[in-house]
Amino acid sequence: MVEITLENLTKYFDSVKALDNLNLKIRDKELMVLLGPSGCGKTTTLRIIAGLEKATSGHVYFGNKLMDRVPVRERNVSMVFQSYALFPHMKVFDNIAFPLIIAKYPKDEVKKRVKEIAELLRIDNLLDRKPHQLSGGQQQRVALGRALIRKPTVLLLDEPLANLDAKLRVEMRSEIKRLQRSFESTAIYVTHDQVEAMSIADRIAVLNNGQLQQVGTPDELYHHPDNIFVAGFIGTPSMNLLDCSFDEEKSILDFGPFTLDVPENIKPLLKGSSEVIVGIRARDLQVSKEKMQNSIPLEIYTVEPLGEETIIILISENVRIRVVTRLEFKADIGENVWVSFDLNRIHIFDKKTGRAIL
Amino acid sequence: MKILKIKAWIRDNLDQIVLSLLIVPALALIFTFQFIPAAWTIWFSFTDMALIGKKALNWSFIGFKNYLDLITDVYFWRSMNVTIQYCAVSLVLRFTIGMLAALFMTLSKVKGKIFIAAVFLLPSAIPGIMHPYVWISMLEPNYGTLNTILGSFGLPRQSWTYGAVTESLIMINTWAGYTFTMILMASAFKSIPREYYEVAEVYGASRWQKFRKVTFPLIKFPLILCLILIFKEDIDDFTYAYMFTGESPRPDFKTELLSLYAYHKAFHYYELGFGCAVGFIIAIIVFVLTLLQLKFARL
Amino acid sequence: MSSVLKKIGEPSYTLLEYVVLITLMIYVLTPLLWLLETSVNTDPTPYLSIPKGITIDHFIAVLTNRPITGGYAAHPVYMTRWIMNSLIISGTTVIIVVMLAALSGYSLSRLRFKGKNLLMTLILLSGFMPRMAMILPLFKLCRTLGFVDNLIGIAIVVSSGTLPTQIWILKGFFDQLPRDLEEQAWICGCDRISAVFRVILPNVGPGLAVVAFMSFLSGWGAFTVPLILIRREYLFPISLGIASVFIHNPGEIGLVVDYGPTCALAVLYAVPSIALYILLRERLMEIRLARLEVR
Repeated sequence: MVEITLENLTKYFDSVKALDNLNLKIRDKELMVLLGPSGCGKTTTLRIIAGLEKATSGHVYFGNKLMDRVPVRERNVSMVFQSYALFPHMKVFDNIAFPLIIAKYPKDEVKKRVKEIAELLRIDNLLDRKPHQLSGGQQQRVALGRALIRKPTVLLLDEPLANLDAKLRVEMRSEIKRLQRSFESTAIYVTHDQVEAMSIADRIAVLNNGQLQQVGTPDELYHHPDNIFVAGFIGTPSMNLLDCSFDEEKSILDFGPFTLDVPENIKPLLKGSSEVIVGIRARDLQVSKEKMQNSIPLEIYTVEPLGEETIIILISENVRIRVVTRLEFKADIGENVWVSFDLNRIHIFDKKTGRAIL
Repeated sequence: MKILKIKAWIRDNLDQIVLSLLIVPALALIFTFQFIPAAWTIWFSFTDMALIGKKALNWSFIGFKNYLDLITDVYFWRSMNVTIQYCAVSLVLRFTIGMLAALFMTLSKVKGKIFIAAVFLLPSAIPGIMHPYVWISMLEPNYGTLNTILGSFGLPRQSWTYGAVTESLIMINTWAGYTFTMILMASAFKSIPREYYEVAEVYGASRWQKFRKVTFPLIKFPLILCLILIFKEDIDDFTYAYMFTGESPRPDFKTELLSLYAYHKAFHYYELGFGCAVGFIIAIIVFVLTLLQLKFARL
Repeated sequence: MSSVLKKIGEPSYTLLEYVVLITLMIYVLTPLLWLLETSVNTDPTPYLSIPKGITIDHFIAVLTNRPITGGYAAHPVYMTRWIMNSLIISGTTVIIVVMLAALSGYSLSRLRFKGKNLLMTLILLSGFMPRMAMILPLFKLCRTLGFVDNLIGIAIVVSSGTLPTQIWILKGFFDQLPRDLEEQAWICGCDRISAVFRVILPNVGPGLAVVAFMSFLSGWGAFTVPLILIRREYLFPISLGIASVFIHNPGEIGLVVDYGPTCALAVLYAVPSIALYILLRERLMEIRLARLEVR
């Protein structure tokens, strides 16, 4: 129910820089995912927004209101911790009702709203239990119930699904998205799992080493990564990133064991750069036992059948390439195959800066 | 302007201020009833203050004179000697017996641990003032329990040590004091995860190996801590010595622990300053022990 | 070799264990036999004897304040009063110590400031001066504060002695409690204090129980402090009361003392400590002292 602005946020823990000049706008009612490997500063960002941590410098705004000095309890944010942080000494009912009880709501109102939200989350039969009598998934729902009951302006979720098993995780993530929509809260969701991020987010902010790498819709990040980090982090299996040099005279990309002709439309972009990194997704490669146009010969290193499709890792000298094929393609380790590049779908990054050229 | 600034600072740091204020009552209490009397005692030790007479009011600051007197005082060294014997033997006995009791309460496979715990706790649960009496009732040569039992079996009666000598103090202190080790070490044993023993068993470790390789490394720190605490307690307290001795030192000095000597000097010989100096010597020993304790306080 | 040893070793270990256990039990219990015997013997003596008859009369004597002879003179009897006094002192001590140790233990667990380790060390060092060396200053101080012949005053002084250890113990419990819980409480709208009372304290129950038990013991067993500060016999706690019934020199045992009721009182005195210990045994094993923080 509010737009959140992070302005030049920097955070040091002693002398360790956890967050480096972060600027980010989170739109009203949006579900923004903060994505990155552990230690990238995403949880720190979340805790600064909640008020649990003070930024070393920079500001947080909810709408136009500067929040830096507003204590946690007055921010009207809700948070779901990775551990769920259910109060062990309280029954489920009291856990969910806790924010309302603190805010001194009348008893009838509390009862009514707990009942509503418990029904919504399908935990209305568990209200008399203590947290330790619940399964992980049930605890997760209770934590969500407690977070949503006072209709928070901002909903913060810190790796909420990390402690669930794989099947439950998939189930809960769609549920969280649906709940967030219906409660119209602005939500910030922290995760290190890019699949989870892609499936749930309106937009994703990718962080690494305390620095913002790219902000965009899942689509944008997948198809137009701004830099090598984002390219390598987003997508399963992760993108093939191959070192190569650009030979302007011959107009070829030299990978060492093999070369590729550079199409005319890309040439001007590569002007001036010699060392580049070519990225191509495993699904954008075609593998065949016969020679095709624009194809190169490689040896099969391993084969990983995944049911629907098969991941094949190919090798030639020091170049390794991951390819996804359909299950029908049968091949054995050590066999030689041909791989063709779809040159319209390759990404090219400057090796020095890591920024995308194409 | 300045007031506004202070107000703003208070508002910004209210949470931390509230948090800091929570220590204040406890600190105030400790400061008033521990630090102030202690500081007072230390101050007295540098004066020639007496308990009664002229020097009670017209005392003067005499620097380290009390401490110099103390070094040349034969009785001080006799008392030191008694104290060292008492503390050293007490330490060994209190620790060994307490350790055995703790093993029976935790790691041992014997049944009825609650009953065992209750029995082992009995000595420390009855009032300290009774401890010498129950021991005397046991050791008295004519009517004491031990000789009565021996006599009823037709065995020769023994003349047990039960009077005002160091051995009596050690015996009573051990019997009443091993529970301290027991409680501390039982808690240390309990904190060892069971899985460690299961792993050791899988690898076919013998009991002794299990103790040496699993138990001992994990209880090393509490064990050292326990030894330090016992020593600290023994050098500090003189209830039993006082009960056997009374208001003035015995001629043979065999029950005159250092702490009791400090008391007698101050309250029997009225040399308050000197007594306080002896007290401060003990305090320094305790001080060092406490610092050692901190080094090993990883219970 | 080792397997042979093991085969021979295992069964005899169990036997050895029981032998040691029984020896220990005899060692612990024999001195107490006299105490127990005398408290129920119709004809109590200062030594162990086979009771001519068993009676609970001595306990009744204690609880009905029947006159008792002992020490230098026949005593006016305040036995029930003494029990009450002991309860007041230990009860007050428990309240003071649990409250103050909880607040300061929490504060020390959460505050971050330079010199915190120093403060923690100072707190622990506060008991370094032997009580007996402090008798005079302590007495003067307490007289100024009106703590002489004042049970609450005694409890306050006793509390100050046991507080340092208890603060350390409770800080250890607070350190172990996940931070998430209180942060969640703040997010739900609690301020610092209400989070402590609604969320933190209910979850360090075992720690509070341990501290309550240990502070009860220090109040119940207090001897030196009341000895210094109490003049009137009807204000004695049990420990001091029993001491006043016996004459000073145990070497001169055998003087006329009403052993029956005195031993009965001693037995009664032991009951709360043992009962509490058995009740809280598991909790007591959870004690982990706080550590100094390495930063």
